[in-house]
Amino acid sequence: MDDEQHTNEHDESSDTKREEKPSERPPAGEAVGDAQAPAGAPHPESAPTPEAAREASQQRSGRLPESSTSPTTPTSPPAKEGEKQPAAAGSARPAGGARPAPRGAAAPQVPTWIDLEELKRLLGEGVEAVENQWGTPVVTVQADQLLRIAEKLRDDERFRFDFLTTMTAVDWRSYLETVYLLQSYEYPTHHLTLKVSHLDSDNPRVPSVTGIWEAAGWPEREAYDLMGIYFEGHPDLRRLLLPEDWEGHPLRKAYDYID
Amino acid sequence: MALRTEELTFSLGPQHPSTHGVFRAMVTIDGERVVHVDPVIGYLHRGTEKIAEWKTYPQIIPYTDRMDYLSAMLNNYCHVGAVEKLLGLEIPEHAEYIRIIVMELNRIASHLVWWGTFLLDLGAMSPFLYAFKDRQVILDLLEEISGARLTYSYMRIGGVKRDATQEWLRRVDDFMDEMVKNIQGYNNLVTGNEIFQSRVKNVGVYDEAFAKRWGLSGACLRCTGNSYDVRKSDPYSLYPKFDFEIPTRTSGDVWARYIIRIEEMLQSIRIVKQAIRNLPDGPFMGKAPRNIRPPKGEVYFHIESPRGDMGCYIVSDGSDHPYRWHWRAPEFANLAAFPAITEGVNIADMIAILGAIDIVLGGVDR
Repeated sequence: MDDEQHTNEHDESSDTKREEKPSERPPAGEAVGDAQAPAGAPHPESAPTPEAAREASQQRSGRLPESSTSPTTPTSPPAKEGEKQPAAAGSARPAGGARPAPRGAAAPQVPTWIDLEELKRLLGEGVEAVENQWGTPVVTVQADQLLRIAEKLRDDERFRFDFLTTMTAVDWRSYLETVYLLQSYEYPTHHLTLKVSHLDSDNPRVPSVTGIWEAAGWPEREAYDLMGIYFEGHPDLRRLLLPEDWEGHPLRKAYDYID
Repeated sequence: MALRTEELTFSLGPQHPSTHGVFRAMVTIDGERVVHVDPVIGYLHRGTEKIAEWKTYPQIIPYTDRMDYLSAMLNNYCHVGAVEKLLGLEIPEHAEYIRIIVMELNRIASHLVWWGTFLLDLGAMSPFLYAFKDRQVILDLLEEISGARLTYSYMRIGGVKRDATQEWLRRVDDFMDEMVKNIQGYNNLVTGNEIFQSRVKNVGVYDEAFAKRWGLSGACLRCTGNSYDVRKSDPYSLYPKFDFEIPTRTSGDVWARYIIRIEEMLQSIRIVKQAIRNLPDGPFMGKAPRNIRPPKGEVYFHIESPRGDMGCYIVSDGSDHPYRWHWRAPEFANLAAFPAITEGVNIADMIAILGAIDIVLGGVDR
């Protein structure tokens, strides 16, 4: 409880601060929201000074003023169903209505390292969708093209996604989806999320990427264990976390876990 | 004439002192040589990812404590950082500095546990006592600021739970000076010891390509010469403001991992001291909505935990709890490479290799 009260106090103090000097740009150390951030997008990547570095890291964290959300490509809608609108719609609306939603929320930045259209073109056929999620390109591919595209993402000089940080799956009730979170040891600020979507919930099958990233071995076993997805070509597809005689796959939304 | 040998399979653990929690490995040996290792994990699986789907975003914070229980502050930060990224929240600098202080303190405490237990694995009893004596001081400091010894739940979405007092900061600062001397003591006690060195040098060697294939991170990667550390490579929080180095080695053996972790403690001390010196005034809680409902979408946020690259993947459906919440535990990925590293080594070396991976089963099993 007590921390919520503290929240209130500090909210009020920063509100007054904001009213006092509405036009000034806050010094780097000021504890204010990004409502006052400069209108133009902060300069990406290069961070020679601490301030610039902080701006850059803020930008990576998706904290951009709303003005920079101009649509870039038709393939980069902010959300799947197009419902996610900046701040006012999706983001937190406090019960009392006294506190405004944070500015810049749900204002996904654009990936700085590649243009989404170009990404789509480079990956070739089999790409179902390319969208932008908080600055990370999310590429949905067809299952039969997964291995080709994964290999390209790992080996192509433009990408070098040699680091499969983790692999997981999402149950969207009517279908399942596998998610591969990719990074690059060479370009550590580049992120890319690869997906295979619309897997049949009754018999989800997807090619194993263990031949491309050995790191996929255990995460795929975990996804098999908890989500019930069959990875074709996996060298050792057994349950990982649960006992061998466990029934069902607990991370499925329909899993009945109360006996 | 070759001696006729026979393979033998036995179970190491799940309650073996050298397995750090309830880890079990089915080990096949031929004489002293390890032929095959099959790790059996899941004894600490509590279904955190499933639980998280039924909890609101702030309610998940205590569950993150209980995953990698040696670095609860960093787990807290990884989760709240992901939510803050979803919300686009601005965190007061004062709060961010305090977060860095407690995270780096936690990193030192975690490395101390590793140091003590790793040497315990190798048969050295007394370092463990030294390590836990110093760790206790850090835990007392963290308990004072958060209210708990291990399960801190100190981070809040938008800031931290409580402010640090001047008195607390002064004592942290004093202890950091003391800690530098203590680490020198550790080096005098263990690092230069020839018997110890012969146990760890050229043991469990792998190269950078191997580490990349297996997605290793943390000291397990930096021992091969790669300097990937999220704090520097893909900076988050205010780390770009700090002056510190990423220790690396190129030999790729257990010795390299050992030295890197010792040096990381010294770097963390540097960060803590800088943070205390430059701590700006300001609120310790930012402007966070009371009812946290992030917009629809998905986000991945990663930080450098004591064990490597730790990440939190959130799929939000616009409600007050995540639709899917996935945790990237670095020790999980590092442990997955364990069978590949241990093929053909001696049993005693296998224990050293396992210890040097620095696993925490709470994080592996989640």
